[in-house]
Amino acid sequence: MNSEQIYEAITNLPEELPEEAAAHTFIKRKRSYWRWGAVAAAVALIPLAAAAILFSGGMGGMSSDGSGAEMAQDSEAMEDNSYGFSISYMDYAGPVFPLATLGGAEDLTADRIVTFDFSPYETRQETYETSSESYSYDRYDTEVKVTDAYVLANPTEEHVTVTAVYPFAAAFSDPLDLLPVITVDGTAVETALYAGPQGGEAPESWETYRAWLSDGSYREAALASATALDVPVTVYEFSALTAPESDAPNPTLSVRMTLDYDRTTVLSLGFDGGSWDRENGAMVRECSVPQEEEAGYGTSRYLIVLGEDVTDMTLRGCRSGGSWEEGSEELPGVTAGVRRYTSTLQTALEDLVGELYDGKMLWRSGGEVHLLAEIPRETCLDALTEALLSYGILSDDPAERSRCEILEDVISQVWSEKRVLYLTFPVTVPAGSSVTVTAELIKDASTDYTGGGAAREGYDLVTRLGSDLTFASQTARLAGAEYVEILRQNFGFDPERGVTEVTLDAAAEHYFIEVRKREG
Amino acid sequence: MEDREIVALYWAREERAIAETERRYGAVLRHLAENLLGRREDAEECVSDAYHAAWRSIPPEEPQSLRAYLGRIVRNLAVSRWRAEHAQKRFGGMETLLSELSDCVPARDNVEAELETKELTALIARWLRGLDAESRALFLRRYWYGETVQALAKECGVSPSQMAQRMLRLRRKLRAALEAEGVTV
Repeated sequence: MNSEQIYEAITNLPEELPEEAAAHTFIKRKRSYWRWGAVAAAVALIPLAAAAILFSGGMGGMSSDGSGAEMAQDSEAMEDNSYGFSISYMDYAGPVFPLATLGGAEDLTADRIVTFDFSPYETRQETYETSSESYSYDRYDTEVKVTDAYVLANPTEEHVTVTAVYPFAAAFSDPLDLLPVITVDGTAVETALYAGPQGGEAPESWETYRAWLSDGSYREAALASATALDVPVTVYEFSALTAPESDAPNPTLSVRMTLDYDRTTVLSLGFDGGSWDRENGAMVRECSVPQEEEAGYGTSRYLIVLGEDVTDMTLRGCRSGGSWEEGSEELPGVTAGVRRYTSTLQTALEDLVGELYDGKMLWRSGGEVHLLAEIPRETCLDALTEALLSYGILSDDPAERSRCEILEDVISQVWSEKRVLYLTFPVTVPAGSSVTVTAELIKDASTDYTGGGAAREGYDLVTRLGSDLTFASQTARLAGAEYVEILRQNFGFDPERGVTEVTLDAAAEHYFIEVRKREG
Repeated sequence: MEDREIVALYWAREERAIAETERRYGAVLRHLAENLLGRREDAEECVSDAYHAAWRSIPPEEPQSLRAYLGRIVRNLAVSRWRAEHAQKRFGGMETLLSELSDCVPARDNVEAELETKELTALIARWLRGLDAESRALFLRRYWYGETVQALAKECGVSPSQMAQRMLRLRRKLRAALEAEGVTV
C-alpha cells in the first residue's frame, strides 16, 4: 500500500461524507491572550503595548436562513446591538470603519456620505478555454465598490492640520485591490500603512471589532513597534543546494541532527519535510533540491536553534523524501554549503523577512499580488513576533514550544489573519473652509460559506467606532440596487420606492445590509 | 439552481449546464484544485477539464451530489497531473497531502491480504463513520478537500501546530484501524 492508494480510496468515498464535511460547523476554541503578556515577561522582554488588550469573542450564533426581507429599525434594539437575530458570518469581511484622526480635530465637524455600489453584481459573460474547447458562462462579483466621503469643515479662524487615519479590515494575503485609495479634494494623497495585531480569533461579527477598537489601545499597538526578541539563537544556513544529473524523481537534501527536545527548539525555513523522534533525541529536516528553472532555486534554507545547540548534524542526499527511512535510496552528489552563526531571534527574523521581500514567499499564494506587497517590512516582522509570542515557539504551551516550528506555517497563519489596518495621511483644513476626504475601496461580502451558492452576502458599516470626529451628519447611499435582492437591512433603503439615500441615526453604532444576486 | 436541475440540463445536453455548475460550484472546485495543485493557473485548467469531463460523463452518470462528483473528478485530474509532472516537483499541495497520507500506510508486518481500492474505500468510510463528527469533518476537509492545516486551525480557533498534531493523531488512528483489519493494498 502507498499513499497514492489511500488518496484514491479517499477520492472514492461515498458522496455523503464530503457533503457532510463541507456543511460541518466547527466549534471555535477561544485563544487566551493573557498568556501572551505573561510569556513576554517570562522571556524578559518589555511587554508589547498590544499585550495589554483584552480581546473578547464575537457574538456567535446561527446565521439567518435568508428566506425573506426583514427590517430591523428599532432604535433601542440597535443601541443594544440586538436585532432579534444574530449578524455573524463564517467568513466575515469586517465593517466599513469611519475616518478618524490622531488628535487635534476638536474644532472640525464632519459630514459623511458612504455609498455602497452593487453594480459588480451585474451579470457578464466570460469564457473558459481548454486546449480544445471553450465554454462561455455568466459571471458576477460580490465585491462591491464603497465610496466613503467626508466633508471636514473648519469654522475657526485658524488652519487646522491633523493626521487622518482610515481603518479597514483585511489580511495581508488579501488582494491588493482591497487597499483603499485616499483622495483629498479629488487629489490622491500618499499614505502610510500600519497593521494592528491579530485579536486571537477570526472575527465573525462587528462586535469582535468593537471589542478590539473601543478603547483605542488596538490602534496604539498598530502604530507602535513591537519589542525586539533578544533571544539568542544559533542559525544554520544551507546555501547553494545542488543535485547531480540523475533520474531521481525528487532529489532531496536531508539534514539529521541530535538534540534534547526539552532544551532545544528548532525553527525551520525552506524545509518541506522531515521527521521527529523525541524518544531517541533525533530530528530530520529535508527539502527538495530545485533545478534551475524551478521555484526556490538558489535560495538558502535555515534552521534557527533556540536553547541548547543541536549536535551530530549529518547531511545526506537521497532520490526522494523519507531519506532516513528503511528502503530509501541514497543519492550521492547532493551538496549544500553550511554556515553556522549565532544571532538573536530578532535579527534572524529580520533577515528572513528581508528574504520574503525579495518575493520568495509571494508565489505561495499563486502569484497573485497581495496586500503583503504594500505592508512595510517592520510591520511584517512585528506580526511574526506577535505570533511567535502568542502561539508559537515562545508561547507558554510546552506542546507547542517543544516541537520543531515550521516558520512557513507561522507566516501563513499571520498572513491570513484578519486584522485592522490603518492608512494615515496629513490633512489641512483651511480656516473657515472645508476639504473633502474620500476613501474608495472594494468591500468583499461576508458569507457563511466561501464556496458557491451562499444564501446571503452581507455588508456593514460602523458609524463612530474608533473615531474622534464630530459628525454633523451621516448619509448612506445605495447604487446598483437593480442587481441585488435585499434580504435584510437596518439602513431603511427601499429601492422599489426610490429610496436609495438615507440619513443614518447618530445613536446607532452599526448598520448592515444582506443581499443576494437578483435572478434574471 | 439545485443539483438535480443542473444534472437535468446535462441530460438535456444544454450547454447552460456548465454555466450553472460554474455558478454553484466554481469557487469550491477552484479552491479544491488550488489546494491540491498550488498554482491558480493549474487550478483553473483543472476545473475547466473537470467541466469537460462532467459534460462527457453525464449522462450516463446521474450524480446525486454534484459537489462530490465534480470534486472527485478534480481530485483524479489533480493526481494525474501530479503523477505526470512529479519529477519536476510541481504541485506542492499534492506532495504534502500524499506525504501526510503515507502515515496511514500499514506496516508490512501486519499485512495479510491485498485490498482492491474499492474495499479500501469501504474500510476508510467505515472508520470515518466511527469517528466523532468533528474529527470526521476535519479529516475530510484536509484529505478530501485539501484544505491547509493553517486554514483548518483558523476555523477551529487553534494554533496550526495543534491542528497538525490532531491530524497526525487521526492519520495514526487510520493506520491502526487498517492494521487491525490485517490488510494492505
